[in-house]
Amino acid sequence: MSEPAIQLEHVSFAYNGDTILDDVSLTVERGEFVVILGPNGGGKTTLVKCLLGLLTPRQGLVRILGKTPPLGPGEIGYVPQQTMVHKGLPITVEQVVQLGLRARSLPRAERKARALEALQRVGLTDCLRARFDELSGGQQQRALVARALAPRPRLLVFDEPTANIDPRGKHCLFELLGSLTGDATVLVVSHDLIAASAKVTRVAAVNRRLLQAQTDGSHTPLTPEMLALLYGTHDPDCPVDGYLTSVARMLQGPQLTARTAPASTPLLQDVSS
Amino acid sequence: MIDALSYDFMQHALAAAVLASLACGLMGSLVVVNRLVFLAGGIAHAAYGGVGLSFFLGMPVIPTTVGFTLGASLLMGKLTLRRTDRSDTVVGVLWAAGMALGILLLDLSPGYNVDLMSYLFGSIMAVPGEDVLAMAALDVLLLAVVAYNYQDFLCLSFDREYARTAGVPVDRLHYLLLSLLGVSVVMIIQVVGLILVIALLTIPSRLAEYGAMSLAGMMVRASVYAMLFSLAGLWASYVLDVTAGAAIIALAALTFFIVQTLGWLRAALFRP
Repeated sequence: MSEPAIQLEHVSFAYNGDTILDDVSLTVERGEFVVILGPNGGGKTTLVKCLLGLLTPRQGLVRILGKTPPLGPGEIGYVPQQTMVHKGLPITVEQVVQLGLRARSLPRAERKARALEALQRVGLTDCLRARFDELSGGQQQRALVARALAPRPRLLVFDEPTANIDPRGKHCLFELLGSLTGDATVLVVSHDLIAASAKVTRVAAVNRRLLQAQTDGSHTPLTPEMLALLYGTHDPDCPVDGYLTSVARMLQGPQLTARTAPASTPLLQDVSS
Repeated sequence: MIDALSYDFMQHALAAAVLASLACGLMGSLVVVNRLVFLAGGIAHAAYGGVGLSFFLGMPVIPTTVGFTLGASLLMGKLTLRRTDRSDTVVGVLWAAGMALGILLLDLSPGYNVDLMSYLFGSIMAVPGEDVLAMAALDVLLLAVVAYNYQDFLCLSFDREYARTAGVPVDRLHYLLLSLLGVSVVMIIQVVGLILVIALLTIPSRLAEYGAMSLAGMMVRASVYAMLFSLAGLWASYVLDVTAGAAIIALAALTFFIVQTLGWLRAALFRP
């Protein structure tokens, strides 16, 4: 039996004395589609960097595809935040995708064929020769996904993929990510609760600690404990409570409603019964 | 102008302008796309420290200045590699400190009366033949190193974080880029001066960014633009009897402002 795609055991990370991740454990099997939600500063990017081998945890075990990171080039398809990309650089979409094959000593024709195949998967073949900075935000994100897909990795990691994308673009993007599972394991980290509405197999919440729940395929188990971990507890008249309530309803249907005070009570309560 | 080409000094000036343009097109494109213009300015000004040191110690100017500038480049590289948020402050300090050190050491050097203005605007009309050969060698070195590392430089320039995960030696490339920049700056300052180096590193490359479809294309365009500015500036200098370096910069800067203004106007008029 193959080892899990991602295996984190009691991982902790501190930066300048501040604990960013505290005893985080998570196991993701191969072929899963996992979303990790977290507020800004909650440790999402640190978690991703630990997975990629860019940071070493203070303690705990990290295994990716059965190996200790960093893995070899192309084994993980990483899609960083769009804000990290230099959009003014004169580079075509095809060249961007071929950057994903940089480490592979492939013949030129094979590189072009792989790039075209990746662009077909994200529906961007029309933009092959366009300059990257001429694309819309959603198209740029798709081009970055194609770059990650080109080396045919077994694990895809997305850091805040919905930043700077409109609601329709987000919907299309998550449809695309859902279609990528099967060949690869897909991990998305996001502060955007909408990410949990995608057809995922597992949802986790990280805010220094990590809570997770597995889906049953019909609804998103964004539990009250997870929301409390992400955003704390709020009085019923607090605007944050109203926002979270509306998001929770949208994600989980009308059977759930918010009840946030006092602090010891769950943020959401099942009232369908 | 044709008559002028019969003079050795003018032939050397033309050759120096073309060779400096090529170096600036290659390095300037990498400087502009990696947003290292301020750092390039810092390296160029820190090179003054090397000039002062060479006169103070009575050592050959170019090797001493190259060594000093390489040290300053690597120090700036080390201090700015991870701390991009405060890198401008660090560069600003080294910028001023290097220049002050150079001037102080020149003041303390007995028997020397160096014209610092010649290092600011250079003396392109008085380039000796050996400096032209040295610049040609520098261009060959730059072409070879950039061509060999082109894909890595492209990946680094587009997305530094992704580059790290893709196995690109980001730190090594960062230091390599700054070292090449340091050597280029020293060699070109001897010929065209500090101000023209910064102008030729930035203006043609920024103009070349418009319309180019690849980093290599941008480098070629930037080199051609730099050559056009240099040759037109030399011609203006000869005809109007003005300082060549300043004439080249004035032409490049004027073109830059015209292109920028047209860009803003087009955006304002045709914005949907």
